[in-house]
Amino acid sequence: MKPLSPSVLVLCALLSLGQYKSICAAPLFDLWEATSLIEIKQGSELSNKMGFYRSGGFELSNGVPVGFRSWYTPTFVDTRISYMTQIHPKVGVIWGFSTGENAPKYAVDPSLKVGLVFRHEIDKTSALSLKGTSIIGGRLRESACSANYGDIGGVQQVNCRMAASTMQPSQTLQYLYNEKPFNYNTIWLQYTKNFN
Amino acid sequence: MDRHMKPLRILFTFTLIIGQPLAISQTLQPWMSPEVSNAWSAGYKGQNTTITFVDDIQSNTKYYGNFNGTRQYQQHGKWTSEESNLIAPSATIQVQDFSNNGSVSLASRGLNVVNLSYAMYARTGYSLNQLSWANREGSVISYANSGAAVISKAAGNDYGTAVGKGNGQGQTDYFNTALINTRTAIFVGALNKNGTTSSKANIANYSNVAGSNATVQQKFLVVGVTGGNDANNKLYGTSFAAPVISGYAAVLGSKFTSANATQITNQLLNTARTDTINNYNANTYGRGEASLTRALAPVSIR
Repeated sequence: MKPLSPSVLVLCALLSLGQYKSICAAPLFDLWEATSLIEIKQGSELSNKMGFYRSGGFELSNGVPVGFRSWYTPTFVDTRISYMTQIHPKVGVIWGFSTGENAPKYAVDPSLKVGLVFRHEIDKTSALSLKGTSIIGGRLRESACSANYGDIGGVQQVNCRMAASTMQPSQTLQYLYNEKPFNYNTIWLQYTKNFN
Repeated sequence: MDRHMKPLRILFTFTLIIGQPLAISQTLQPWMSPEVSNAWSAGYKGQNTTITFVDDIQSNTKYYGNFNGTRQYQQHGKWTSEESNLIAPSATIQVQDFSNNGSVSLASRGLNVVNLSYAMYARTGYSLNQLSWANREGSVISYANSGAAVISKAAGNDYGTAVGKGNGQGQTDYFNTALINTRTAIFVGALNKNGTTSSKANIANYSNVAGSNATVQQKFLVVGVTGGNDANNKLYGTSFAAPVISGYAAVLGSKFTSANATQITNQLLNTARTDTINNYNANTYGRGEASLTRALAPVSIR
């Protein structure tokens, strides 16, 4: 018998306090028997994209250096956990969540992951799997900086990374990142062959 | 007393060797300060600004050189305007030939910059009120006084002569003198190279200097003049320092579209660097080496 995950134990503990304690009886226990951890990952493509800018920076007009590290370093790196629960000999439900991450100049929203996987055994050594997943949430949003350009330009909202570029401050705002996870909808078709 | 300034102009001399003219191409050039390439990494490069050159584009006096990757043979004014255009490729370039003594026209919209890579010499000893100007120089002085345009004036090639003072031949550039107490004139001297903190520059031996006049010191910048890409056809002189400042002003004007010529002038002067110059002193270097990177940057950010 597979041990229950800590999250399930907490859930059952909470449910047993009320009228739903029966849910933690045998059927749910079987459901959890059919659930497997399929992914645990710290970091994501969006997290890595912003991490690229940590080493950047520029000098202010008086020569004082401004580094991007403090702006683009999160307090906690986006972490994803995903499970697959088999509900049929050939069908599984994929589900999971990510924590998101926050830094002074950007945030990645938390997200939920849901999906289905179909597996067809062709023969004893090969199988075909079709998997589809969707991510709900997980958007990357970058924040603007407030830059004081002194007498020549006053205080303006600007893309932090482009504050010292030749571009007009207002024009830099269109380059603030605001995008979904790149894999927010995916379909996988996989052929597996086991060698004897 | 002769109250009228003769319209003499002295073109700065260059070291040159006869070569073969080649086809023209445009790329980022090694003679430019590394700051230009940093500033080009994104954004606009002088659009909605106009740089007007008062220079020679018609005479038979031509020089070989290479600013854009290929050797060319052309008049002084073609060289100076090309130099600025390479720094601010989106700026509108206008040239008024020396044969035209009429008023210099400015664009009706956007920042105006006037590049003056020439001098107006006469015997040392006159005061400004003894002189009268042709419409051309008179208009430029008027623009500098009113702040209608940034005026980038080559400091001169009189081997260490202070701006506004007589040279060793008993001659004074009175155009410099007339621009000293204006709002938007910048005098541009030449360094022997583009300075960095690890490889500092010195004043080019031919370049004029700021001198002891505190007003001139506050309006004096230096930039590196390395002669261009052709080892056999170098183009030296403060004639080629002024167009760098003209290009910088245009790049600034395209970023800070609400700024006027006075603000652009002050930004270039206020953000000059002294830490890229050996034994910096204001008598020689004025405010220091112009820094486009710092001129584009904010004072503070959060």
